This record gives sequence, structure tokens and C-alpha cells, in this order.
Amino acid sequence: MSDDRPADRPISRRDEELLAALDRLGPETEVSDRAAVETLALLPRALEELAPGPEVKRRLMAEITSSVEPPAAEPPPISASDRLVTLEQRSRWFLPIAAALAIALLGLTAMQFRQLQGQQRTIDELSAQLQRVEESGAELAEIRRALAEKGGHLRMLTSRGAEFCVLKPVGENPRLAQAIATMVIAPERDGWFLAAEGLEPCAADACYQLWFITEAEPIEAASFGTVEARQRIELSGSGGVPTSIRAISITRLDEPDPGAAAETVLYADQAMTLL
Amino acid sequence: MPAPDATRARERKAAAAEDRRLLGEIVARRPEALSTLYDRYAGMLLALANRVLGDLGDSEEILQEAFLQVWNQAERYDATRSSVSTWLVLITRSRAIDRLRSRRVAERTVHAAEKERAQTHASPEGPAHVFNQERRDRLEDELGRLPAEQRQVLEMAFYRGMTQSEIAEATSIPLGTVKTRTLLAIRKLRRALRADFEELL
Repeated sequence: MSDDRPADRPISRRDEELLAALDRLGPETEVSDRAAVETLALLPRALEELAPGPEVKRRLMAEITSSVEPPAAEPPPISASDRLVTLEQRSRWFLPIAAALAIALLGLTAMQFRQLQGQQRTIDELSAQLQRVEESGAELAEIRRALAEKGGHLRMLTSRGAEFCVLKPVGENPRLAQAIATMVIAPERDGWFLAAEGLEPCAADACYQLWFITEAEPIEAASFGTVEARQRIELSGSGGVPTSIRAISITRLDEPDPGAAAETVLYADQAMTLL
Repeated sequence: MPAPDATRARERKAAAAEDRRLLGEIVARRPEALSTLYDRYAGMLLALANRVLGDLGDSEEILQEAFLQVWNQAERYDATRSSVSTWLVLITRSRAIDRLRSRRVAERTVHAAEKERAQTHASPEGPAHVFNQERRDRLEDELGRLPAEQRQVLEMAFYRGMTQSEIAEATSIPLGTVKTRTLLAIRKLRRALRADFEELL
């Protein structure tokens, strides 16, 4: 996968890898963050256990028991006199037959071994090709998605009647001196696009939230984190935007202290129409 | 009365060691080891399959298939990658989600599962029942503490096998927000439940 990711994902590479692994999580999936997998596997333990019917185990055990090979039956005992005759009779033919069989078996084994090697090579090549195709397909889908998203942003920015506003820092906080955001709302109010920069990085349990403040109540439009100082954030949404927006704000929420009020970081209460 | 932390940790460690021993016996083709492993986990795994599929008959089939896979592929288990119980959960979940996708019943399963849970099968009783109940209560508490929107994305990913993009599309939430919510939920649960698996890491 390319390192050149769209800038609307302020998520660390390690977290991106974890989310990608979560998307294809299975018993054979390689996940570097083992603690996350063990955490997720605890989820079913919150469910009330169900007792399977007894026939489930009966069928299972019958199936696996039939797959275990029984030990070979012992040959009947041979008396001492029979053994002498048998050995004498066998010794005449035994060696030539055994030698012929051994040679034939050796030849057959060598031939089968060569065939198996050839088959294994073919299987390995096909697996490698399949993996390359799957990886390319996923990359291609990601690029298409990003392109479609960028195209949508461009259409929105150039539409007649789109609304535009600038969110500025609240108060005199020196940490926010460089923070600013611009927002564009689509003419039919069926989408929005936000670009922000200069925000402080978030701790692991904190996030920023984008709000549409209406006459009735504030409505959360998105939440996001940042990992680097002065990182540019781009976000977009395709859901409906309320018609009676009084203002738009970005707040910062520190989750470890849920009782604390969210701090308003950027705010705008005036918009202009483009074109 | 809840067991002290040290006792719980000892019990979990001993249970994990016993799981690994049983899996070794299964590799050596001993059916009685599979029978014991089944008795330890069938209740939880059936609940998982039923949560995904919302159909008890299908879920029992998945349970049987999952243990057959354990019997046939026990040597593929990698102790450095996950605990045995996690491996069992991932096998069952993958099979249940494959069945879910093949039948395209995603939309009706969540409500059906809720109904099924209320109507059928009491939970099994046994020596580990009290310990399991205590752990279940704690897990439910921790899940309940997650904000509803974080719990929603986590459950859609885990129980319905939806990718982050699929969740974003289904809920009309921006993809970045879905990812942030999923990561926050995993981080919080990991911190709260760390004691449940740290001795396995």
C-alpha cells in the first residue's frame, strides 16, 4: 500500500494497520497489536452462554473418531514347524522379489517426488500471483475511493450557491494562535467539507468534535484526532446539513474526564455564498 | 462475592496453559482432548455464532464446523499470535460471518439475535459458571461505559464483519470518524480489560 495517503485521515500508520487488520480479521490474520486482538476476542464473553444440543457434540465426536485410523490387526500366531517351512519357502523367492519391488518402488517414488515438486512450484507461483492481484485490487479500490472523494470536494467548492465560512480561535489562548479552519457547505445542503490546521495534537483518549449549532440544539457532524502539531486536517460528510445553522464550532473533548465540559477551540457564526 | 484479582489471574493463567495442553493432544489425534476443549468453550462460541447469525440451528452447524476445523488444523495454531481461546473465537466468527454473507441476511439478524437470546436455552451450569458470570458482568459493564456511537461501530465490525468503509456507508458517518470511534473503543476496552489477557501476552 502506498505511503501517500489522503490527508483526511489524521490517524497514525500503526493505527491504520490495526484498522486494516480488523477489516480482514480471522484465525490466520497477522496483527502486530496482539493486545487489540485479545481485547476484541473478549467481546463474546459478554454474551449469555448458550448450551448446544447434545446431538451437536455426538455428531462432532462421531465424525472425528471415524477419521482416526484403528490400529492394524495382529496376524494369527504361526507354530514352530510351520515357521521353518515358511521361512524355507520364502527364502527362495523373497530376496529377488523384494529387490525387484524395491527398485520399482524407488523409481515410482522418484517420479512422484519430481511431479510433486513441479506441482508445489506451480501452487507457489499461483499463490504469489493471487496475492499480488488481491493487493493491487485493494490498492486500486483505495485510489478510486480517494479520487471520487477529491472529485466530490472539487464539485462542491465550485458549485453556485455553496456557502463558505472561516472558523477562528476563541479567546486569547496562545496555543490556538495558529489554528484556523474553513468550511464549505454544498448548495443543496447534502454535504460539507472542512479543512483545518494549527490544531494541537490529541492524546490517545481525546478527540476534536465538529458541531452544527442550530436554534434548537448543537448537532455533532464528525469527530477526529490529530497526531502531529500543525497537521492539516481535511474532513467531509455526505449527510444532510441542518437548514437553520446559527454557528459552527470545533470543540476538544478529553474522554478520561467525561464530566469535564468540552473546550470550544474554533468558532464561526457568519457565512458567505460563493459565486 | 467476587474473587480477588490475584486468584482470578492464577485461574486464567492455568486455564490458558490447559488449553495449550489440550491443543497439543489434539495435534496428537486424541479425540478426548477435543471433547474437553468443546465442553470448555461450546457455550460461549455458540452464543457468538448466534449473535452473528440470529439462528440457533445455523449457529450449531457453525459450532460443529469450527471444532472440526480445530481437529483438522490444530497444528496451524500459533501461540505467538493469539491465545487458544482467541483462536477459537476467530475461527467461529469467521465461519459465522462467511455464512452470514452467503445468505445475505445481515439486515434481519440483529433483532432476531436479541429475540433468540431472550427465548431459548439457559446458560450452562458448572464449576466455572460463577467465574464466567462474574467476568460476563464485568465485560457488560465495560461495554456499557462506551459511548453508544463507539459501541455501535465496534459491534458492526466484530459481529457483522463490516469493514470501516462499509460501516461509514451504512451509517452515513465520515470514514475518518468511523475509524476514530473504532480506535477509541478498542483503546478504552484494552485499558479496562487488560488484566484479562496480560498474562497471555
